[in-house]
Amino acid sequence: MNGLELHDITKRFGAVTAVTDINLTIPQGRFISFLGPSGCGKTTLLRLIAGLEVPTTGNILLDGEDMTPRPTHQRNIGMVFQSLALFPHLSVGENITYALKIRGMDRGARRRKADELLDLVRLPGVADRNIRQLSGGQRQRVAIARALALEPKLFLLDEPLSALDAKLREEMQVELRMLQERLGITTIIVTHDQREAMTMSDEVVVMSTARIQQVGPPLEIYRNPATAFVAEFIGTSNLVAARQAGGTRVEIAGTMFDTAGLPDGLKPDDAVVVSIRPEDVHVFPESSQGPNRLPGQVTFVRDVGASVETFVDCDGLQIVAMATPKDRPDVRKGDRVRVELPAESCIVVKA
Amino acid sequence: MNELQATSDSEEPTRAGSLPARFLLDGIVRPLRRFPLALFPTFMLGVFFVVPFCIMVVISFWHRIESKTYEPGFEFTHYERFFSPLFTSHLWVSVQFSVLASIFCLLVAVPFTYFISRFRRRPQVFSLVFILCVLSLSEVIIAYSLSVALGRPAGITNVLVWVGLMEQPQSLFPGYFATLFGLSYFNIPFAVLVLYPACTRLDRELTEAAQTLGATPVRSFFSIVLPLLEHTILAAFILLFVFTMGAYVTPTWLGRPEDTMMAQLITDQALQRGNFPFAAALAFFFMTVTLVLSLTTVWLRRGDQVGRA
Repeated sequence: MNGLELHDITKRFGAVTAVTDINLTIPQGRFISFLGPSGCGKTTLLRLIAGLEVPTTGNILLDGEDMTPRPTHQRNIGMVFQSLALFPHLSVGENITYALKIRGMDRGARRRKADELLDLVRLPGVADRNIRQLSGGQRQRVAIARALALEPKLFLLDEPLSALDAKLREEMQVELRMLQERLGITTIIVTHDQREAMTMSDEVVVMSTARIQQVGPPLEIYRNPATAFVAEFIGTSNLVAARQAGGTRVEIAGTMFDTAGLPDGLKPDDAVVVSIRPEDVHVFPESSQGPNRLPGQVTFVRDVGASVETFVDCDGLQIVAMATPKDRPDVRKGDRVRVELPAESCIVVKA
Repeated sequence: MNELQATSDSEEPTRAGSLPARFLLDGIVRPLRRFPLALFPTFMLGVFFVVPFCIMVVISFWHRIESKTYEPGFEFTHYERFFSPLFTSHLWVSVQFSVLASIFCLLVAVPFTYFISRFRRRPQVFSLVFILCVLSLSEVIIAYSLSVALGRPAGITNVLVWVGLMEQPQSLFPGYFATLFGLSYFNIPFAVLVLYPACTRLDRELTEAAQTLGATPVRSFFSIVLPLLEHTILAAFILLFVFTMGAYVTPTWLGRPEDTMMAQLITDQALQRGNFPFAAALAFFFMTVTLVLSLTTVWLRRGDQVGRA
């Protein structure tokens, strides 16, 4: 198979398990994000793929060939480090062509390749500059050009944009994605920023506590989180404790609710968690009637112009509803209301 | 506001003033006015360093009378003696020992320090404490231990005989290589301490990046680590060179008469022959060389590349 395969990867540092039971297949040419909070093992997993760490168990296959025993310098990967790791004693051009020099390419060819790569990352004419003379965004581009110099099979990025300011970061995200589409290179980026992951990737691998929680296209993960962790980590969610009550119905605080569907393997009366996005929750006056509604009291209204958030206390259950200004519910703090959790938006995950 | 005014007023004449006046004012008077606490070290330095140093310089021009005395005078005879074969040959021995011992010491210390700086915290601290223990041993003890280790009755040659590489145990000292070995050995902890901070500041990701670009660990050491440590290594070399130039105990204990170094020569002139003017001239020359080299170290440190970028 063409692409990267991870089989049963586990990595332990002494008593600490950094990643465990990782099984993942990444087809050739895809852009993948490893997304998770700090300490979830995403960087370790990337370093395992790069060969900078050796897995305790498991195998890493690239295009069907076992890479596990190969040291980093024989893996043909390009990597952009969090610190960028540009060599301070070399010029921009020498940094970019470091790999080519090791391969024995002659000076003239190296020079041409450096110019070509700088054009690719839209930073022409800086080959002779010192690294210190460049801005943060420019260094970023140099690091990317250097990683791509050998036309690697795998392009790995470890939180490469975290040092940039918000505006530049968003620009670079789009640019990086366009560059990857142009080159068609299999790319893995490690990030803790779900927006970044969703902007760039074909598929997102959500990780937490050393394990993969869910793998899927960004929207799929947003709309159908597999676990309570994913629901909460990707965007914001109302997480409501519930109980399975037969069919596709659950019971929340004594009221029956229809849902989009239940996960497999649940027995009646099992505890579950219902996840619902704030933008899917509707707020109605107390007098209104209908299914999937809970009575409550408005505790706070946050109106920031572009969106309005209504915080409702439903007998101890905190529900947040978000609406655009034109759908703004006409409520004030202290009003008695009913919140609707539409059945098609109620995602049930195991507790 | 008043003070500001005063400062800018006093600045004007200095700019126009002569170089020594400017040095005195900018280098000594102005800092002292601003930091009165600096008076104490200045005073100590003056009493215990500058005054004896001046006495030494003055004596170096005095007239030597045979029979171990000397009288005030002003002559360059002692400085002229620098060009005598006795002096130049021992200066050459000193420089040779210092250069070679510093190089051998760095050949061991640079890779060693780099590797301990890549360890995890605990073994790193352990190694450093161990090195510091060696540092706490005096030169006398080290030289004496080495003389035992290199000697015939209980030395390493016995091991070589036991292994079968040698027919009979023999004494490896006194001798050129014994001295060189002793000098190199003695300096290793100093070298490690000078190199260690720069090594820990080296970002691990730099060598990892080199490896993702196809460099073997050895190649990444030579193409990334060594160039980045270049200034530190040079600074360490000068420090070791200066240390070794002043070596006294090791060459006395482990060396032959022809391995006599400068410090031994000065001691010999001052204590055995009572030729204080010549000893003073030697010491003055020696200090000047040391000072120039130390200043070079400071200057090189300014261009230190590690930890910037």
